[in-house]
Amino acid sequence: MLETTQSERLGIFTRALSGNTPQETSADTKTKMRVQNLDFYYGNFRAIAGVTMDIPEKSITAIIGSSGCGKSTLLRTFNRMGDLVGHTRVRGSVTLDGENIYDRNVDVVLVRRRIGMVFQRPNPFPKSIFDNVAYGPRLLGVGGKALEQIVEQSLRDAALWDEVKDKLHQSGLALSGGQQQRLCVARTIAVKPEVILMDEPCSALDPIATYKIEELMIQLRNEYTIVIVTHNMQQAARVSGLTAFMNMNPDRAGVLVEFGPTTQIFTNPAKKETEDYITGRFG
Amino acid sequence: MAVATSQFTLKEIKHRLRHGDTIFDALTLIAGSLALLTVLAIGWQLWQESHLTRQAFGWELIFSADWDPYGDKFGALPFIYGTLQTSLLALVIALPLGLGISIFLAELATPWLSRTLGFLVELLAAVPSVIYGLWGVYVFAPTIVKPIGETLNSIAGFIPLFAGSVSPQYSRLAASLILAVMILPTISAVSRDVFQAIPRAQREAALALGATHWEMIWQVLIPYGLSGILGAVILGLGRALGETMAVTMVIGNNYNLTASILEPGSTMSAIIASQFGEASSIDLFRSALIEIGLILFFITLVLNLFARLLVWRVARRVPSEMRV
Repeated sequence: MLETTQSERLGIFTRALSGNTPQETSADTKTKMRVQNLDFYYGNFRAIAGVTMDIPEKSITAIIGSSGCGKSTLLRTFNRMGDLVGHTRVRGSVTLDGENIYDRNVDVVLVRRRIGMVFQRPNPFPKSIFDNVAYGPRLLGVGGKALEQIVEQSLRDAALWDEVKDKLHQSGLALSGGQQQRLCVARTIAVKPEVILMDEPCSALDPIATYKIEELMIQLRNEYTIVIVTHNMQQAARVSGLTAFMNMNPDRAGVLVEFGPTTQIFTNPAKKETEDYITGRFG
Repeated sequence: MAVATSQFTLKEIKHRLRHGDTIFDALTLIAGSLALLTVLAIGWQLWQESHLTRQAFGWELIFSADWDPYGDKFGALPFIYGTLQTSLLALVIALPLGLGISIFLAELATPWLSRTLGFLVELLAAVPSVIYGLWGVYVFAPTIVKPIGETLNSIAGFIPLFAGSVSPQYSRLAASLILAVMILPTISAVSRDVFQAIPRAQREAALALGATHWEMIWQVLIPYGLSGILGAVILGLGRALGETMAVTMVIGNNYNLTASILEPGSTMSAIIASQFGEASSIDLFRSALIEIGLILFFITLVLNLFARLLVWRVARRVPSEMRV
């Protein structure tokens, strides 16, 4: 028999899922961010079409999908990073605690203070480890003893403190790639954002560093709302409570195909497209 | 058969490549050494040709302010002061302005505006310096420099730098301001390239932490690009130190040493350019001018070395793969 059964094909995820202790999303879980009928345009090109999804508070939501389907673009609309590229346009709404972040009178700086971001490649500033983490709190006017405490706590929360506590004044760039990425996480949580967006945070890291970042995410989900874009489906299966699968429609615009509890997406997807993708029969 | 042919060709190729490399290496080595040899030759010539005054006056030439070529008095201090004062003032004016231009071009202007304005700024560098001189004497000095000088004189006239009588046309201030305009395109174009080369990830990192545009530019981009910006400053300073034509035309060629920037003065390059004709028949005079050239050469060299050191120290903080 050439064709393996669906359960066999999905079997590869059972092990990943078994490591996942999903926080069951009960009906009373509060929605932190709500995306409604979101369209995103680069000039005349529609990169995202009609995405609607509710992101629950204090949980990890994963966005998966093939390259170029608009996952990162979607993620970047959540803290208005897309504004940085010229000639972009957004239709629809993204709300944070009920407030549309694209509203005319919303201050984008305040939005980004509440919604932090960790990027694909570690991007520490060419400053010391301490100054990297202290950058955000300093913007808010924190200094002295309080600042030292925030830096230490953030490095502890990012599981980096023990490795760097003796060299806080060395350059952040002297760290390994995995340490740099945890430094970037520490830098992000130092300003106590409510939501952390992670754009393929492990794609430049080796498996051990990846594992550490995943552990970190699982710890952080008790306090933060995390949205992660990942190419690594097993990573999504390991860490997330909810998974969104995106794909391109015939116009090459990214659409949300299926969104639901991670266990369901990986073991019993409702759509044929989703199943084809996660079993590797895509395209 | 096919195999034999390909082996033969491979051998041929290897043979040809090896000799090609040898020749190419030699050519580039010659080209590289030529640059070094030229610098050494210039230094050596200046040293040789100035032996008359070096033997006659020693260090006095540098520290004396008395310039009377026909009375055999050769004090270069007024010119050394003029060169350093005009260059530094030009830099102090042009650096913030140039940095502002480069930030606007790289960070704030729309791509279309940035390209157009950037082109115009670079065009400033293409204007011949004699045109700057003409414009400086007839337009810039009477309409802009004079009122600035008068204001400075009335407010801060008690400071030696702004004391004395305000010269209506020729002054060290006019030369400094003309120099500032002339080095502005260098500083802004180089700094703009520096800003544009900074990875987008650095900007995004700052903005994602809730930095404002201003905070991002001031605390992240400028520190990141500091070595490059210093490089721009060095290029500008180099041009200011050596600029001759425009300065000679607006500075007034006054050989007396006064501190005031509002009075006419002279610079090392200006005195050489304006008096070389007269000096060619008098050996001692000629030697004095060549020695001034030697001093200018030396100052430029030292400033460049110092600046290199500064760039190197700053650049060390950013690992090479992230360097601009």
